[in-house]
Amino acid sequence: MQTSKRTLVFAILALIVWSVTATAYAGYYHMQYRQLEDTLKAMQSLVLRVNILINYGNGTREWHNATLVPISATVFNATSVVAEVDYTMYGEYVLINSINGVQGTSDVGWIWWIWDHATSQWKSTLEASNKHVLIDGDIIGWNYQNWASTSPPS
Amino acid sequence: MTTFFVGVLFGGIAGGLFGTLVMFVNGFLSPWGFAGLILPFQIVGMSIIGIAGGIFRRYGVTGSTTRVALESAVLGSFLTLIYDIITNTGVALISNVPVVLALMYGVVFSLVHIVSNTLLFGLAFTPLMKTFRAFGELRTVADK
Repeated sequence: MQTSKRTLVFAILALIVWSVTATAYAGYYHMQYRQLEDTLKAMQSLVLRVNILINYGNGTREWHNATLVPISATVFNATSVVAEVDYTMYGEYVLINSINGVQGTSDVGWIWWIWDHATSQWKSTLEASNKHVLIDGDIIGWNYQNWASTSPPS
Repeated sequence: MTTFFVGVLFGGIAGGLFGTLVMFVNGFLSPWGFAGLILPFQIVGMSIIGIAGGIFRRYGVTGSTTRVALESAVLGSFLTLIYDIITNTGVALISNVPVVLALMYGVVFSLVHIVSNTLLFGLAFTPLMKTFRAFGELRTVADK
């Protein structure tokens, strides 16, 4: 066989291998993507998406947007997903001692707020964080602030 | 690789028969266990590799060392692809799933299989040829 023709034959064989494997791999990737998409859709009926703000009170603010938490998760559960939380139980109520190592004192501590979509304002409740059950789309904010202060997270 | 080389040494018929024998024995004695219904597909796939060795011999294993190494690497990848398509088709028919789906599910293994065989053919075929030429076993092939 002529050298140029022979080279062409081998080049075609190599291209066939490349095209078939690349196509099959693309198909495999697509299949995996679809499977994950289906799993995510199924999971979405079992999870909530919430946004969590941690305001350290020194100008540092952390947003954890679209955090996935299970249905019936509380503010405390959701916070534990995104941060290192130290707490003490008082009966069935939880008191947050520290978030991500920032310790509360007798003067300042961690107070949680929830965004009121109706009034577009932060509002505080007197509930313990493990008693407030979240709903999909909730926005919660942890504010490191004076216990007597009524200033919401900024 | 061995089956292909037998085809190059002794011709396509011998290569094909050798491939059949190899996969028949492998089907029963493989550490993965008995091959089962996939065995005929493995036999066909390996026979084709042996026959391809004979065809390669017919067209002459000629040219520089680099050229022969490249050609054998390309053949290694192509024949592995054919083998995997045949065996995956077998799996699809046995498991009653669409062939395309079986090919896609097997693609990760196929990639590893193809890459390793490409390297093996590319790196080992030429030294094997040289060794057998030195023994004078391949005089007729080398003269082509």
